[in-house]
Amino acid sequence: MLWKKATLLGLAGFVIGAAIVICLVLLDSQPLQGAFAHIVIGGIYGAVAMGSSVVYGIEKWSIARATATHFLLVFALYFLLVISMGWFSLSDPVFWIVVGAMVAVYILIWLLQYLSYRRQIREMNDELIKWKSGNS
Amino acid sequence: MKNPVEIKIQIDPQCHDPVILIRTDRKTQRVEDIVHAIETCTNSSYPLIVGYRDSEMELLSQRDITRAYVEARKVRICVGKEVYESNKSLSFLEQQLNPDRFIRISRFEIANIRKIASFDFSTTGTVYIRFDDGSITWAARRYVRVIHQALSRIEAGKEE
Repeated sequence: MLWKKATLLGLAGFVIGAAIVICLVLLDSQPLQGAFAHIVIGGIYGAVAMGSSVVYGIEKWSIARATATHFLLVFALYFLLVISMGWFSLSDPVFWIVVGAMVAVYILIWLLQYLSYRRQIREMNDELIKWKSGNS
Repeated sequence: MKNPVEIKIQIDPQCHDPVILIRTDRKTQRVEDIVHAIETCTNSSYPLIVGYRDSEMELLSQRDITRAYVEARKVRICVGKEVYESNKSLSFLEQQLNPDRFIRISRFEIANIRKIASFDFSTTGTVYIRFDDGSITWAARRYVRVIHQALSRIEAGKEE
């Protein structure tokens, strides 16, 4: 069930990732033929990013574990692609700016989810106390 | 000795099925007991649940069940500190249990909402449920909204 969902999301991610790269290439007025490898890599990146988002649906996993796992998968792929394709070197500040942005986004995802659930749990405890005190 | 509960029967030709109304200033354990007694007498759609312990079969009142969960591919039913085994699936049990009392809290577990003492949310983001008997379990985040809605219904007094 999880693999099926991951595959479907991965396929959708591939299409979205490839489409984003095609748009960027066209905006840069470059010929699409020469950018085939970049389009495929954009697709792979989208597929992994969206497909691996199923980790958020694993019931036993905490928000922190799911967020950290997704971050590590996406970051590992980013690192491999950047190095293998020669997009940036590790001494390039752009590489570290992207890493910093990714870390910030994932911390924000965790924080927003955490605060949302914490608020709901507080409300639930309040309702439980009201109901229990009404019954005593 | 005066009967502590006053029982009145009102004959109404318009009322074909009996309607039971409990008048009280607040919901107490005694009121809960009366409701349970009436439910037991009249409501066959929420039957006693069969549980096994040490190869012996016992009939469990739904009211006494704290939670039912899947562990090592077996369905277990908790009644206080006692753990019974069931030969039915969790989905089958869910159909038999009173939906006003029992809710899904994960793919593996159903809990008696009236036996929940408190909810806790850990820093890492796991939802824990503590029951009146001191036992603790976790709930899936996707069921938090369902649990919240069930609690709101109970608190608003739309049930019982």
